Amino acid sequence: MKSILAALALTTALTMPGLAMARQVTLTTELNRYGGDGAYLAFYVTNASGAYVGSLWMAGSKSKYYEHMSDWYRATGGSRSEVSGVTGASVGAGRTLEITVDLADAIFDAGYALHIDAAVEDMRESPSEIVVPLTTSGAGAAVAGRRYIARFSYSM
Amino acid sequence: MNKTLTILAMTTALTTLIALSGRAETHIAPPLAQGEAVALGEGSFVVPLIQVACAVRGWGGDHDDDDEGGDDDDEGDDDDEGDDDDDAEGHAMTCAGQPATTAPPGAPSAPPANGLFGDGAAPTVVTR
Repeated sequence: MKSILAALALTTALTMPGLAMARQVTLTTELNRYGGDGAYLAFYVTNASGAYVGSLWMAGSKSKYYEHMSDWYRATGGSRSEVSGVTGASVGAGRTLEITVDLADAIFDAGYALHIDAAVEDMRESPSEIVVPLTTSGAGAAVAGRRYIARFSYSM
Repeated sequence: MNKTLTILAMTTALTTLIALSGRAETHIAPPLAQGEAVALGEGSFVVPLIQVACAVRGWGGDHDDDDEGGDDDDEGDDDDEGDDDDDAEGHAMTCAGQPATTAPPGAPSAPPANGLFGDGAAPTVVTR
């Protein structure tokens, strides 16, 4: 009986920290009715120094267009490995994209910022259209974009 | 005493299991029609090879008008980015002189190990 209890305690102790080190975050991006084709959106994170850390999502699957998300492209060289497994369809004008993802606790309240680069065929590029600090207090606050993005918010 | 410990242990174990199963459910990828997502993860290595050949062609927009030379096949093909749900259906992509290839339908796979993702599970994506 004691060994069972010990095993249970051990598995619980091993499991609980894993649950506590990440949080589920929903990124909601609502696009304007800008009257163009589907928008490519690159979601990525920079650290307190402004250096690129990694990508969270790429909306738009054709890599030949990635260069038009110019800030993201400058940081990554357009490497597909940066968005491997986190790539989906482009987002139509007027539509809303919701991405739910488990993010490491360490990137909140530590100077990290979420950027969204946007680009639309035959229209202007919009690098870093959204830049929001990743903070627990900033959750739920909507931020307006400059060109294609009507508003963006994250919740957790 | 032993009984109390047993109840405590069982409760903890059940709570852990419920928490874990709840987390697993949140990562179940939506069906293609709902999520409109196309996986480009492992197994899609053919696509980049084709797209490298296409990459010499510009998209358009203000900065690269020179690329848009007005040639007959420039961006005018059937799979052009023109419709809102382009890419979402995983249909054939073509470019001049290249055979069509199709991105495999499905859901996002494991994210890159860049330290941002907590548990390595694929994001869940919905477009509405």
